[in-house]
Amino acid sequence: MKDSTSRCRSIVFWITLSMLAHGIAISLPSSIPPSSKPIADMNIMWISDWRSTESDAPVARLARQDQSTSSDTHLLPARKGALSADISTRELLSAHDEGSSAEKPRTALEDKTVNHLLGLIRRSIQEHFVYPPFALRQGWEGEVLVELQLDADGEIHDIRVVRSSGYRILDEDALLILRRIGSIPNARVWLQGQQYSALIPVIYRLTG
Amino acid sequence: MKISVVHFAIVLAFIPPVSVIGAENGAEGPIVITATRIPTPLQQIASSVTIITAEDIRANQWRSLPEALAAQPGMRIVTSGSVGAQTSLFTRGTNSNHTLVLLNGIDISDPSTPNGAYDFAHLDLSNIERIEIVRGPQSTLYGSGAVGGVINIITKRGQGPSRYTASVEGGSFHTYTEKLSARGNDSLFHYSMEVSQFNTAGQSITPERLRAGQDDENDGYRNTTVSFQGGITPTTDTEFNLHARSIHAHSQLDIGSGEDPDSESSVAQRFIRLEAKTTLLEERWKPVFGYSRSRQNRQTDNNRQSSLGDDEHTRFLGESEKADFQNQIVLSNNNSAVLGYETKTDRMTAAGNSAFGSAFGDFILTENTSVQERIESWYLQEQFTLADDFHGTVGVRSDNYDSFPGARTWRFTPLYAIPATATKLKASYGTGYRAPSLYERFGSTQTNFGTAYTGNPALKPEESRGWEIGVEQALKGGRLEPYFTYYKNRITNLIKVVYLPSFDSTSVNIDNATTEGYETGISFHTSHDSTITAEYTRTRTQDQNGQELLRRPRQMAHIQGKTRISPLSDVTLSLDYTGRRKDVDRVSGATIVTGGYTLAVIGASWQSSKNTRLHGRVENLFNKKYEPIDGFQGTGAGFFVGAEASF
Repeated sequence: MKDSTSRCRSIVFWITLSMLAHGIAISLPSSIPPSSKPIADMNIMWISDWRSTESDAPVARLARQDQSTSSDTHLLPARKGALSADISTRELLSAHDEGSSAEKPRTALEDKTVNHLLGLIRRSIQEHFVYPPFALRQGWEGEVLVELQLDADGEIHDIRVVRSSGYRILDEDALLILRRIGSIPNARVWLQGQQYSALIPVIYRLTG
Repeated sequence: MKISVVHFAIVLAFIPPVSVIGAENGAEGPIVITATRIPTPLQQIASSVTIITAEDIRANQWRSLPEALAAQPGMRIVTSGSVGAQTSLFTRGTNSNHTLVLLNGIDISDPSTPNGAYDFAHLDLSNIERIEIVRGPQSTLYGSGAVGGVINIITKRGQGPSRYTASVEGGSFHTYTEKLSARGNDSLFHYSMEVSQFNTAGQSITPERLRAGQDDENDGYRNTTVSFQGGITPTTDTEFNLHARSIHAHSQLDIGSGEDPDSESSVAQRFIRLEAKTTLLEERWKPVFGYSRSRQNRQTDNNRQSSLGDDEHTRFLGESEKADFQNQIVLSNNNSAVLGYETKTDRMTAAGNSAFGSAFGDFILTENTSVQERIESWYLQEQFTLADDFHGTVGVRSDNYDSFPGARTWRFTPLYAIPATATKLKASYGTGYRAPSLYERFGSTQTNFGTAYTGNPALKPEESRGWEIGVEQALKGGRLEPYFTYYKNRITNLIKVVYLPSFDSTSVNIDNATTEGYETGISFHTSHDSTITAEYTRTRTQDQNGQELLRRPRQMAHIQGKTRISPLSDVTLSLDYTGRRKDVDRVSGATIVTGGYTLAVIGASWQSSKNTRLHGRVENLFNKKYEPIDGFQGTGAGFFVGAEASF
């Protein structure tokens, strides 16, 4: 015979736990992707879409840098069944390179400016990073290629995953970090009224 | 050589576990988020594992092992009163002798303990880097005693330039802690040592209701621990390490049914381990040789205050010596194995008398046991990856004892970690056992009339079979992590002391028990330095007669919040609920049900300068009167503050 008080107590406990969980979920809005699109959709961006954004704004120097200075070692091969777009980063980047060398966009920001902006973004990320503990425990690492738009006021818009790391948790984390930043302080001065589009590889790497 | 003045400045060498490093050339290049890989031993991959890091210990201001364990799911810590008194752990509802405790690979259980249970009272957390708690039957890797789980304690290893730390803390009940530590490394040597001293005048462990007009007498405790870990790395692939820990503790106790002003117990423990490691065949073969020794001396003294009082002077000495050889072999990219061999010798000596006064004269018990035994074991465990995300381990072990047929155990654990949904599905099935203790088999206690206890050399090991299934899920980029694990253990041949008509007693394999339940919880990482965790454990235990096992609460819950309120200060708050449970009345010996209680702790710390850190906490915030064991009360509200300086 189970005494009813203990059953009662366990119901109360579960209600409390559930309230707590919901409370936590509700208190998250700033970091919840505003789009109702499932994350899997956001991971896929066709190269044609990419080209259309390319003509609007110069692309981050950073992407080219990545291709020239970093080897493939930190680009994980796409995992079987993972949510990656069906193009390799190298292809994506070279496609982009051709574009920028063939005709320099008139609105291009100077390299120095671009570098400075990327520095600002990186610094902002440093204040918000967290290696997702779940991924840390599984030993999951990878690279997420994220694209974002900076408007003339330094606000970050249209953040999307261009190429998935193969791990949903890392993709989501990269998006959440950038969303949380919201805007880049002082970017306005450097942007001089222009918009700016950046391709940023975010690499999750375990050491030791 | 000039002797330089060592400045003990502030604080803790706090190495953030995660850092963001830009690529080589500053502004350009990808954003790299790195963290230190958690070394997951092969065997733990699909088990229910909780890792307590040095950072957790620091943030929660835990001082001793029981404090850290009490906050973990599935763990029920029971102290006979307050700090320093006999402390037992019931993992997932199993008995107090069903959890194996390892310190850097040394089995630190005391072979002289009559029922083989480890006393958690005296292990403080100085010089400790990490505590791994593995739940479920784990005998396949660790041998006897790993029925409910394993606690694996790993000490700090010196890293970086030499760093010296001094800290002091003081507070309620005349409690003072002093610690000094030094650690560092260079290309050849590494060292980490810490000396700590703890003193408390305590409170009485006998509650007012049992004092019956007697004066309140404080039961104090002191503990001095020295820990050293150091080594030489002659080449990058080879290293020789030495680890040593010495503990001297003294506890004031109350024996019998009320206050006892001079009942006390002293403990001296020494553990030492030498280890040689190397890597051969292009990192495919990693052999490790180890040799360890432990010596534990436990002395209990109590002088009688009246002719009817108790008088006790007993001494138990437990020693063990172990040599082990472990090989990690990488067979292919998705297949690796651990093959090991161990040989261990346990020795115990018990001597001394205890006397109970009565109207008919004294009844005197005389301990008289001196025995030793050798165990030889081998084990093999394989870890494989079948598909990309499907991993598994399978293992077998054989333990062979001098005096009885050995034990064979095995274990299988599949794990499915799904990257596309950040879900981990795990399961395990395994067997475990506990060899009867030396006292249970060969012990002897005489009385002035005859014999009070005679060991039973024919005892068989206690055996368990257990399984668990669980799911862990990460949501919102890992910021929200719920989990659920269901487990069940069946233990047979449990050893029990039975009384014979001749007034003698002995141990027999007579009882069976089942423990089952679930552990569930959710962690919410609001940012990298703020976390809220809520956990709930439900346990159901039953012996062969359908009766619930003693002192195992059906429900336990724990809520903890940790947040950074400014860049330099942190606040933690934790609430621990322990539910109703069956117990034995301290005075009458009758079986009773005791009520639940909730304890709250609030703590804060402030990095006041680069080298100094201040901290404070209030334990048992609501000054709850509670008895972890009937008739032995826990400590009331206490306020503690401390400072730490490092250089």
